Amino acid sequence: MTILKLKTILIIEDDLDISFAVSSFLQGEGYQVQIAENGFVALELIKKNGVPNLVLLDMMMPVMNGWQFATEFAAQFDNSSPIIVMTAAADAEQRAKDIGATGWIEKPFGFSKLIALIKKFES
Amino acid sequence: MNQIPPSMEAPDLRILLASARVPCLVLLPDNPKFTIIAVNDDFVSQVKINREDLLSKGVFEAFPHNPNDPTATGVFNLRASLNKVIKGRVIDFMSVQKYDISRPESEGGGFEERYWSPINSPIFDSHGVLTYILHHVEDVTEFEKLKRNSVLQDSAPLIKYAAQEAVLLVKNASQEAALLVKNAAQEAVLLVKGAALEAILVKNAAEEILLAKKAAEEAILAKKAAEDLAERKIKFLDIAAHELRTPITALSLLLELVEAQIEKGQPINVDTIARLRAPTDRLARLVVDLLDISRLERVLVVLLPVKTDMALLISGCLEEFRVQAPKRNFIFKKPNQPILINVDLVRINQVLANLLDNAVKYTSEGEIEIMLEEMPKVIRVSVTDHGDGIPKEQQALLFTAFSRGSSDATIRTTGLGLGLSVCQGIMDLHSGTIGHVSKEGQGSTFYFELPKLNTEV
Repeated sequence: MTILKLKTILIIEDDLDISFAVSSFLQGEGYQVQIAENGFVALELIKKNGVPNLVLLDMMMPVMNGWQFATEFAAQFDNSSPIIVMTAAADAEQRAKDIGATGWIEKPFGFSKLIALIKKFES
Repeated sequence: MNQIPPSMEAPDLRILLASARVPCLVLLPDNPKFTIIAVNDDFVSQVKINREDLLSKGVFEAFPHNPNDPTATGVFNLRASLNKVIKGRVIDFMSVQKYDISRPESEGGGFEERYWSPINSPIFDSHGVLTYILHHVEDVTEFEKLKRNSVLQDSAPLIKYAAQEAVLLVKNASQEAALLVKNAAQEAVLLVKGAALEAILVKNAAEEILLAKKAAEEAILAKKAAEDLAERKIKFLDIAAHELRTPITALSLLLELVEAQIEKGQPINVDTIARLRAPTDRLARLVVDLLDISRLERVLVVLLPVKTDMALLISGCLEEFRVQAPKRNFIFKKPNQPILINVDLVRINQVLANLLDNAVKYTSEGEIEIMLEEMPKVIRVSVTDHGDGIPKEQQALLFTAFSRGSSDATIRTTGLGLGLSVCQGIMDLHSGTIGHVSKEGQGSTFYFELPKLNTEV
């Protein structure tokens, strides 16, 4: 699944400091970034603004967690985008596979690692 | 010439025999008749028969056997003895014979019982020819009678002895029977005892099996407890890793932003710097919690008790929370008079802050009520929220270290789940108690109680 140039990225993360840092960085890299503090808010945003080119998804969140979001996202939208799981859990790879995510990144991570992973989806 | 005195002359043997005090008969050896040819006076007087009735008669003709005594053997024995004398030409001493003699009619007739000791001697002529047989007898009737009486007398002790023996036998037999019965009874008792013992053994075995079962069950419980603790610790490590990773991720990313700005010569974003505070504080709190629980578990915490008014302590703590959570409504109910207690201010403040922090974290809205009450022996501080309450299955582990709830509310919140176990440890050190009342859907009340200060002192 490769896209010529990703434009929009949706960050779903309940820790506002992390989502602030990641969005600041990605905006500096030229992406259009949206932030949602949980899965429920994310689905509302997608309904309003359309499906993003990439989703950065935290797993443990209140209201609607990563698993629930992934299920709803696949069910509600035809053109589902690649998902990169960002998790502090010990078994990040397993969690990514559980929800059919395209990739995963383990917390804590640096921007260089994140951007390298995102670039993989661009040709 | 020697003159032989008249007394020395050879006597007439016929006169001697005739008057000798031994009853004698002279018989001819004319077997089988044995004719009586001479009888002396003593014989006649003894047998009470006239001489004329005896002379020339055969001896058996003169003394027939007693027809009333079927056992009489006198005749047969006399004949045998006489024949013995003829054939053997020797003297024959017969054993004592019963030979009854017929009583004269003048004396009532019939036979008189008599015992005789007869001797038959052969008398030879000068040519050695057996000419006569001298039959002399002795009446031993009296002696025999005496003998028979003595036999009877002799038999008396025998009978007595036999009776005694019989008594003894009966006695022994009865004793033996008694012994047998006794033995049988004892054996029966032993059997019953044995059966009882076996029953006891069976009972003991059953009890031992029960004990072993109990021990096994306890071992299983202990194993399960150990496994539960191990599982809780693994879970705790997962949670700890997650909880530590999140603020570290935030700090590291925010620092990277600042570093990039410095590198590019851009002005440093103040907002980014300000954001460093929250995750740093969170990390600090987590580390303090970890240290606290570690020290409490090793009983390394030393209290510094100070006499203080509990109402003032609560008010001070509430002021901080009103700043931290300005949207929440904290209601404090307390008695009018000061409530003095002797506690470690920092530690009790920590307990109260923990309870307030939980109330804020686990409920998104509603009042939080703090109540200070004076009970007979203790003072009680309670914190009540109006949230969802705590699921029943999680209530048991509330105060246990390394356990944290797993509800949505728990996921939303941060922390290691050590707060309440730290509170428990602090209350233990103060000889106080901590507890909760919670109904799912109706909110929770957490309270702690501390011993009252004796106002007299």
